[in-house]
Amino acid sequence: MKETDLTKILEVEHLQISFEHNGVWSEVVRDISFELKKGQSLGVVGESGSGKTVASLSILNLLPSSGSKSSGRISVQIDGQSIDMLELEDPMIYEIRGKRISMVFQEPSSRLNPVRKCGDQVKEVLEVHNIGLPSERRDMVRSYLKKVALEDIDRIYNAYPYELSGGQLQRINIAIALITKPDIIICDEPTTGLDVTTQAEILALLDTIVKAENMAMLFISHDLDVVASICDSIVVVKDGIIIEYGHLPAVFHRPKEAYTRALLACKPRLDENQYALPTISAVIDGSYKRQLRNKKSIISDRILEVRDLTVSFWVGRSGFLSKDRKINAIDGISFSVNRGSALGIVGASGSGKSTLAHCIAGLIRPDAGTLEWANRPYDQEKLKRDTSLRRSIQMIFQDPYSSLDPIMTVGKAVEEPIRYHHIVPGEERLKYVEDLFEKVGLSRSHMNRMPHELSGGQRQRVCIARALGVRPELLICDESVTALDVSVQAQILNLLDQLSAELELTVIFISHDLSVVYQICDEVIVLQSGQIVERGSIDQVIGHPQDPYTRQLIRSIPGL
Amino acid sequence: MMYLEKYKTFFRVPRDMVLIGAVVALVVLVVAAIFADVIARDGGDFIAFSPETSYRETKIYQSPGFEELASDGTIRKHVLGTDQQGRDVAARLIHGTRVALLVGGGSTMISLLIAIFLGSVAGYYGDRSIRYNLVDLFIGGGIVVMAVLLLTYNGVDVSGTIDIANVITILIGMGLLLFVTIRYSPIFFSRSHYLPLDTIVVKLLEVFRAIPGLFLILAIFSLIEKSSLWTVIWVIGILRWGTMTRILRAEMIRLKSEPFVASLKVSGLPDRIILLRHMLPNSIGPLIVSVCFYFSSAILIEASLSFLGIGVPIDIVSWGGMLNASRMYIGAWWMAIFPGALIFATILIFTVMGEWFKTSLKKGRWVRNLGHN
Repeated sequence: MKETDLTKILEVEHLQISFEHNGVWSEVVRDISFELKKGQSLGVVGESGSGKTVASLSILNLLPSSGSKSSGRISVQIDGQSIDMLELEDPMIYEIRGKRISMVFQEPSSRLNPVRKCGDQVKEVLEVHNIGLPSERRDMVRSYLKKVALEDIDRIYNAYPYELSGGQLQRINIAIALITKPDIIICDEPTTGLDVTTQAEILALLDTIVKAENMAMLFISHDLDVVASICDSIVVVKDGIIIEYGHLPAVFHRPKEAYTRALLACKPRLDENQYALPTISAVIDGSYKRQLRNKKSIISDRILEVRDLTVSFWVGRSGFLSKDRKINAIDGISFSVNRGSALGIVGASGSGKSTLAHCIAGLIRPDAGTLEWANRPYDQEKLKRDTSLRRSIQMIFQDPYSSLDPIMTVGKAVEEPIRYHHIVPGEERLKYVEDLFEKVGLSRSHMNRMPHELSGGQRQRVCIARALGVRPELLICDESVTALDVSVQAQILNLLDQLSAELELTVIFISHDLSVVYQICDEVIVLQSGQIVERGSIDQVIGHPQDPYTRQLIRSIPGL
Repeated sequence: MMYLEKYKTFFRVPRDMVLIGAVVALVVLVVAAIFADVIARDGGDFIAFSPETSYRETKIYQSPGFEELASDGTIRKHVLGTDQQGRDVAARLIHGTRVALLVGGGSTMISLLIAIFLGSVAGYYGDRSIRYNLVDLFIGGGIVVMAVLLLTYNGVDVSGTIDIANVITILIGMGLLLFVTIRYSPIFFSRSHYLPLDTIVVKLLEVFRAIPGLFLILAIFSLIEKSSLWTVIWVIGILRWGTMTRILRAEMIRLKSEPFVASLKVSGLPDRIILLRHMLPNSIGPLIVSVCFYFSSAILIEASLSFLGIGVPIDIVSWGGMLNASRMYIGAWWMAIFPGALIFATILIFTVMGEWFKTSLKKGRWVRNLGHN
């Protein structure tokens, strides 16, 4: 039986997919071939836009039928016969989707029906595929929910998606995908939106179930370290073409192609603090030199002081006659930031780190506590009136796709606050904006583009230019590189690091990823459910973590 | 392998061609309205009658194509016949275009302005961002009372016409007082209460929604002794701001939580710039769609009012008024068919345009949706 177990269950040959946009066909997937055997897990790695998601969607025949065309062969072995998924007609496809091949998507919260109970959504899969007797299905679901390591099954079964956390929702998604015992499971960036600790748990869970059921897994991710922790083979994709394909240890430790090497190098690491992170192009042309960073000496001059800050939100009622509940997103936090230093704030999602940033930037009114800027207290009202104070505190947001006005050219978007605050006289303004664009690594020709014409990294550069245009003293970066690819992330981190040194900025850098914070911060605060659990210099916190939660955070970073 | 051209629609006019047809028809209507005095005048080249040719016994109820010998010896043809007073139907139709477009455009504009103000204020500020103190309340309340008094005594005179100059003066004065209150009162007094702007607007919407629109219009016109074209425009405009306000309020609430609005706030831009330069242009799509539908329904309401004999005064030519006149003699089919067809066509034009914008909006073709593409 050993041989049948190893038969190729999925074979993709010369897959080619094009999309139509305004009458122009562009090839997204140019030539991708790989095979998947039973019990094998294959990782597909590439930057965004490399075509990895499109290729995986085409395996399930999920691409829109109009506006796309595909060629090649995707053959799936089902009950001893080979079926080409690209030529499959409608009724047959429902036999395969979910029953033979399942998929786990990114963003677990948007993949579940918000108005149905989670348990029923798992049960629905059994009903659709007619598995088990109707009377048994409920128990089947319950036992499977237990299998995906969910506790308190009764509550979870009857919970609506909004009542559960991202990690729990992804477990339910995994249950929906796996309860039919499919032959192949496709995971499309299943852990990307989740924070580090949850990511580690989800990866471990996927690994155990897939091994136990002897399924084949296709794991798509932009993060090489994540793939390395779960797969045994790997495909590196760039611009729709396979760059490297082989067994994981071989690719990971002795990459043949420069691109793979670069992809491996540009991830920020916890074991060494480099002066600048390597970027993909720098590694490929060999111009990157490894250089360890010297820590800045910090003058003890307090620029921002936060005292006993508390922010609470009203959350909806849990039952019919119950009262509204008030939860503290931030619970009495105090810290101070020195001029010219870089403070990292680390915590899982929901720990209150974004709320803290919004509070300092004056977007949220705190319920209690004081904020002081250069020893003078300020609040939301004062920020509105005092334009020089408003200018001093600037912020860069998480999602570069939505933090620019979609119908205004990026040049105008950068110019607007400069004009409003009269930073430079009218005749010099254009030159000033051009200089800003050059400073953040964009050219003058980018100024007339609309935000949607730029890539994520370029948009984030525009946001940085916009924030720096008003000559701030404090720059708050709220998860500013989380939505970006590893390679772009390195570029933006380098840019922020270089600019903050050049302009003597004070930086508050918020992230869920300790290794990112390690690259640019001097001090770090670890937040857990609205309270500071650990603080200190970055080397001390990472080298000798005191709090168990910090230790767990460090342990969960993949690739260590 | 291509497996997309499997299903094809049997017969289908491209959506864009339908729009082009509608736009061309609209341009024709607008040209007719602007140059009505040139097109249809006594002795003119296109239509040789003005809409008010004097009464003559021999000319009443003549069917289309009736020719008459003018005093200067030329033969003039009534292309679409004459009405009960011997006036040329074609000339009256062309002059009626003016009223239709003026009522449609004017009342839509008024609704739009009210909606932009109330909708954006309610959506953007919500219930818990504007704070006030007793001084604000006192001055603000005073402004409202003053405005009501001034409008009743000066703005609307007994004959039912509204003096626009007075209204504008009052609005400017109110704006100035409001500005002074908002700008300077927090310096002297701390603002301690939240002003539930959103709730106020929503309740107002509900009140207006609860009253059947046409009945309210009828009630108002029964109060006004002598209505003019402008009263019709004002009344239709003021009574129908509801839907548009709701749309705009929803758009503002959606946009308010977009990160780009937060980033504008952090840049230190004031609320008026964020609202007018960023949020309003971003919600222009749904607004344009509703403007199109507003336009057509305003024309329909005007026609209904004229048909009922209220609304636009009898001496102004309107399509609805012509329909009304046709009731007197059913045999004169041309008096009913032509104005009716024109009303239908005009409404169709705006409906087609509205539908085009609506589908384009859904496809993200015309106004690009926010974010990812």
